[in-house]
Amino acid sequence: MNGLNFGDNTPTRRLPVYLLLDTSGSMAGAPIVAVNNGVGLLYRELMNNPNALETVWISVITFAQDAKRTPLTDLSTFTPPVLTAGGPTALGAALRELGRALDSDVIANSPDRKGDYKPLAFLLTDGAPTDEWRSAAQELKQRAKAPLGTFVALGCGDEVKVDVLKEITDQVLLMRDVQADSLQEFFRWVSASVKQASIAAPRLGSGESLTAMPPPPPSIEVL
Amino acid sequence: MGNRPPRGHDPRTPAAPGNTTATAQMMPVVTSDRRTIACATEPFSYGSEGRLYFTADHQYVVKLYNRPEAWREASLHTIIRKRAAVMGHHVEYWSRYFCWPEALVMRPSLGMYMPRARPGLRPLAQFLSPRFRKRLAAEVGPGVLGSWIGHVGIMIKLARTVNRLHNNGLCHSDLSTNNLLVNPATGDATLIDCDGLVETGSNILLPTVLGTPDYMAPELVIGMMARGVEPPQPTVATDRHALAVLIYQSLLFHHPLRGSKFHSPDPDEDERLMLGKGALYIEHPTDHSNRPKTPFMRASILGKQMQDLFARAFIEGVRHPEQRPLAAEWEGALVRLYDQTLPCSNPACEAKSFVYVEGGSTRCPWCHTEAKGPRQIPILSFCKPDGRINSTTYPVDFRLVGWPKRTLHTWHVELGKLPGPGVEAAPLAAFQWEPDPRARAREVWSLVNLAIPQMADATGATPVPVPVGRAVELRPGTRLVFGGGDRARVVEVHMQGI
Repeated sequence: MNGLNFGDNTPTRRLPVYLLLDTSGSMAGAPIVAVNNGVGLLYRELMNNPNALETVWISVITFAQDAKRTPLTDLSTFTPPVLTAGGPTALGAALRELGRALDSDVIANSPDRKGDYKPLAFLLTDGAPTDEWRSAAQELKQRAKAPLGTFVALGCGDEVKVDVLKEITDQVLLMRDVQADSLQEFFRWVSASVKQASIAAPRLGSGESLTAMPPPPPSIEVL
Repeated sequence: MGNRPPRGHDPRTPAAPGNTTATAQMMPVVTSDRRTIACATEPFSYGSEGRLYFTADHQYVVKLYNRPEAWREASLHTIIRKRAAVMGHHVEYWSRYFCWPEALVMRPSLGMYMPRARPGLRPLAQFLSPRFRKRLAAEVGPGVLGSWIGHVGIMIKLARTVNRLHNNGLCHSDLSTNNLLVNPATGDATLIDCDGLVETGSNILLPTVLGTPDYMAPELVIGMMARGVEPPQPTVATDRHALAVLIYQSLLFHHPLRGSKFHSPDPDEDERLMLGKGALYIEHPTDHSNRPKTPFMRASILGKQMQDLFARAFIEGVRHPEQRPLAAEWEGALVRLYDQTLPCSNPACEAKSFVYVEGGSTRCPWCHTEAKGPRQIPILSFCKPDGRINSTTYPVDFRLVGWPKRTLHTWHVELGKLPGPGVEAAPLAAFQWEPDPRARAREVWSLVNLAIPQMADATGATPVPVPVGRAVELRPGTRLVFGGGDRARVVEVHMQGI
C-alpha cells in the first residue's frame, strides 16, 4: 500500500440528496433542456468541491405518468440522467417514492456505525398534481424514521399550485417567469446549498434551513 | 446566529447591469476611496456570504455580500485599517500569506476589494479528500499532490500567519480547510477570507460567523446550542482550537475528534455532541471510547513534542481553552519537525517523506519501506548554552536528523531564531555524505561551513576552527560550536545506524 492512510474516520457519514424533478408534458421543450443542463451543472459544481465529493450521495426521482427513481449513488459514480418530458404530473407518486427511498437508503446512526446526515430534498414542478398527493406529503412531514433535514420546493410558472407546495413543505420558492437562465441560477443555488450543507451538515444553530442557505437568486421569490 | 436579517427581508442586491450574454461586458464597482474598478459581470464563485468576481486585470477579487448588514461596513473599515499594523515593516513578506482587504466596495452594493491569491494555490480541503486527490492526480498529474513534508511546510506558514494575527489582537474566526489556499509541492500557503476578522476585547469587529463546524472550538458549539444566553464569540483561544485541528488533519489525514463514539441516534445531535459537549480525542490515553474502528495514523509518528502539543489541545484544551497551545508553540514545533524528516526510498510512496522519531524506526509509516542510502546518519542535538564554562552536558534545545544535502540555517545556528520575515534564509552549512562503493562501512559524513563566521570542532581538548569553505567530519561524539561567547551554540553529534 503506497497511498496515505486516511483511516476510517474520514467522512463516512453520507449526505443524501434527492432531486424530485417534474418531467410532465408541460416541461417539454426548453424547460426540460434547462433542467438537464441544471442537473449537469449541479453535478460539476459538487464534483469540484472536496467536502461535497466526500459526503454527497444523489438520487433523482422524476415524475410524469408515474415516478421513477435512480438509486442513491455517490457523487463520483453518479451520471446525470438525460430527462425527457411527457405525460401528467404524478407528484403524489414522487412523494411516495421519496418516502420509500428514505426508508431504504438512509443509514441510521447507531453505536455500530456512523449514520447518514439528514437528507436534503429539492422538488421542482411546473404544474398541478394529477394524482393523490396529500397523504404522501403528510407522511413525509410526520415520519419519525429517517426524516428529511431540508425540503425545498420550487414552483415554476403560472400553472403551479403554490398552496399544494406549501402543504408539502414550509420552504417554498417561486419562479414566475421560467427562463433557461433562471433555471440555471436555481441549480447553481441548489449546488451552493448542498456545498454548504456538506461543510456544515450538522446545522449547529437553531436550524431554520433556508436562512442557513445562501439567499436564492433574484429570479426566485421566497414564499 | 444573531446577525441574520429577519425572514422576509430581501437582502438581494441588484443584478449586474447589461445583458446577460456576457461578451466582455464589465461591471463597474466603486470603492470607498472613490476608485472605479472594472469587474467581470459573472461571479467566479458563489460563497455562503457573497459572490466573488475577478477584476478586469485579474489581479484582484471583489466580494459582494449577499446580506450587506450595516455593521459590516464599520467592521471592514477596521480590518482595512489594521492592515498596516499586521504587515509592519514586512509588507511584501506578509502579503504572500494574507489576502488582506484593501478597500471597501460601496457600489453596486457593499463589498470588499482584495488581492487575488497567487496562482497555483488550491484549498487545503482538496488535498485532504481521498477522492479529490485521485481526481487531481488523474486530471492535473500526481506532482500536484506534492509530498507529506509539503504539508509540514504549509502548516508552518499557517501557524506563523495565525501567530501574526494573534500578536496583533486579531482572530481569524473561520480557520478551515477551505480558507487556506496551499501548494503541497512547494509548501506555500495563503490565508483567505480575512474579512471576518475579529478584534479581541473590542466590539468594533463583530463576528460574522462562528466558523466551520469541524474547526469550531467545543465552547462555541456548546454556546450556540444554549438558549437565552449571549451567543459565544470567536476568540484567539477558539482560533487555537481550529489551528490544532488543521495541523492534526493535515499531517495525519483524519479529524482528531471524529471517532466511533456514539452520542445520539439523531445524526445532527450526534455531530453537535462529538464536536461540543462530548468532544473526546480519538487518541485519548485512557478513554478509548472514541477510537476509530480501523487502524489509523497516530500522532506518535510525529515524535513526542508534537504528540504532547496535540494532547494539550485535545485532552485538556477541549474543556480548558487556556491550555491550548499557542500558534507560536506550533510554529516552533513544526519547524523542528521539518528537520527530523527522512525521504522515503519508495518512489511510489504518496507521502514521500516521514519523521524519523527519536528511538523509532527508519521505516516509512505510510508505505512501510525502509529508508535507504547511508549506513549511518548523523543526529545532531542542538544545545542551549547554560552559562557555565566547560560544561560537559548541556540542555538539548532541539534535534536535527542529518541527510545528504540537508542544510543548516540561521534558525539552527543562532539561538532563539525561527524562519520568518527579516531572517536570512540562505544555507549556512550543508551535510555531505561520501559513500565508499567498495566498503559501506567506510562512508564519510561531514558538515561543510558555507557561511558561519565562527565555527569550531570542539571534540578534542582544544577547539579547532572550521573556516568558511571547509568541512568537518562527523563521527560519534563529535562536538561542534557555532558562534562564540555566551551565545555560542553547542551541537553534539551521534551516529545512528539505519
